[in-house]
Amino acid sequence: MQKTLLGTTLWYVGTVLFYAFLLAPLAILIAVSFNPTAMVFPPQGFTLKWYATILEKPDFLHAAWASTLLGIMTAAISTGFGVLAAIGWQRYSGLLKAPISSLLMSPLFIPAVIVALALFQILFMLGIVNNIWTLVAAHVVVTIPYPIRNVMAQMEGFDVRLEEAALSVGATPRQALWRVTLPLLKASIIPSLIITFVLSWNNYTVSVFLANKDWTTLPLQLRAYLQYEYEPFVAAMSTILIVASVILLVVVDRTVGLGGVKKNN
Amino acid sequence: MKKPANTILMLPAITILGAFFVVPLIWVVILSFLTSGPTGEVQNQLTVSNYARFLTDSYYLQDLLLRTIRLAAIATVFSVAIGYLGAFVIARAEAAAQTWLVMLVMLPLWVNLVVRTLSLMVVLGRNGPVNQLLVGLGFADRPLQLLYNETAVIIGMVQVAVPFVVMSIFGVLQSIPRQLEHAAMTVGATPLSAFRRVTFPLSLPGVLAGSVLAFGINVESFVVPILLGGGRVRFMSVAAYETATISNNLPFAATIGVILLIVTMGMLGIYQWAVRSAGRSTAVLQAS
Repeated sequence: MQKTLLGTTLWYVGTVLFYAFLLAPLAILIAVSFNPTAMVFPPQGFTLKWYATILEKPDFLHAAWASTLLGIMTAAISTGFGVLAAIGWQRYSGLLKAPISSLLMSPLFIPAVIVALALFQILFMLGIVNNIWTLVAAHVVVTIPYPIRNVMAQMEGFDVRLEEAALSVGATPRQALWRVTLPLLKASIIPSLIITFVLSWNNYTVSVFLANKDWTTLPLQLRAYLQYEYEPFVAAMSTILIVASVILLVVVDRTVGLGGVKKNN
Repeated sequence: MKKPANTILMLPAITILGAFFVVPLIWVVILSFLTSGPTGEVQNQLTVSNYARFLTDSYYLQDLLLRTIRLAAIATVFSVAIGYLGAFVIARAEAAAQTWLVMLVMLPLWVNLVVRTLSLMVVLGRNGPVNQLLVGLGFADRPLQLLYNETAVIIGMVQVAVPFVVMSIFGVLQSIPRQLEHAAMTVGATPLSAFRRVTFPLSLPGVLAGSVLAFGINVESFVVPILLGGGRVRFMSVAAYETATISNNLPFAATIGVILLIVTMGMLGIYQWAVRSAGRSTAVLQAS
């Protein structure tokens, strides 16, 4: 392609504008967290006092703890069940193969707000409220398609002979599963654990319907602060969350590559 | 291997989806045909009155459903335009830069949506950078109210949807051989017309997929209309939430939910139809 000066300039302008649109708001929010006065950009000075304030907010720390626990439970259950289902589905050859795969993937196509509304309604009717396990189950429902899809995709190019070899030299099916199949699937299991944790950790919609006072998660707590205390310490908390996300993203990219974890939310 | 063992492996996932997803969804559909008594308890009598109320009252039909669809559609148009630009920039970048550019696009997806929406509240706020710019350049005498209106909600939805659109279109752009564009230019096409006549038409499947994805994400937005609409922009998902938890009218909340579900399913249906007929027309093209 012939490169004119105008073309090259337009090219760079377009690139910069695009990334500014995507990322500048986050950069501005980070800058605001160092502003000593108010939630305003550009900052009129530099302070770290808002970061110190966070430690004086027990409800924030509690929410961070709740979100972490919830995220770990969701990641473990969602990935565990998802991996088993994907292996089972791959080997299953009955009439229900197509319907089962539709069922396993269906939470991706139903708006999360409807999943949450439906669960809220039925639990309300059954009188089950304030239960951490229903919250975990709901998070598992909205995250489970991701591990299933990751593992299914990896199993496409899977050599079944490895497992048959294990069986032929006397391994029980259970040993073949634990010693051969699962280690081979590590490349899709680890990103699945991370992605389900991140999805649960960031989830607002499902939690707002189903979480109770004891399990106010981080997104819910942050939203509550926005409503009642609109001060730079909210930006400081956000900055911590942004940094945590960036670290996770880089770790995933460096260890397993981003290919396996495309499209979340 | 024996079938029962395979079924057992799938059982935990199927059980949890059945109990916490399929059964509640069926219950919501049934509930949408029931009504709520004067004290809020659900009456055991099937009726279509919720749907009749929704579809005949312009407060729900015009002001809620059509507004939701309209805002989601406008946001989708902008998301696809901006997303196409991003995808094109990444597709044409050098391989070494590409990894980084993709990672920067994915980054917002990993950040909490409440945080991302908050960042827009700062940017669009009364004393925010956008207002400072508008006043500084003389476009406005004093800071404007940029938050808590439809425009703010649209900007928020575009922000959320763009990374998804970029990834859909980027995949397709990557698969188009650059030689096609070069061939067009060797026979005299300008770079612009080579893009318009060759690359762009071939990338349309990605544009279509990105649009459907963006619309699906936008129409079910929840955090964005709550925070950037500030209670002044009515939206389906928010109305369903408020009707269920604040007004405590469970059947009517179910009706709003089911109607939203029908809209998203309808969109998926249109998408599949479009893909199929697009496939047919390219087949015709190749045959002729």
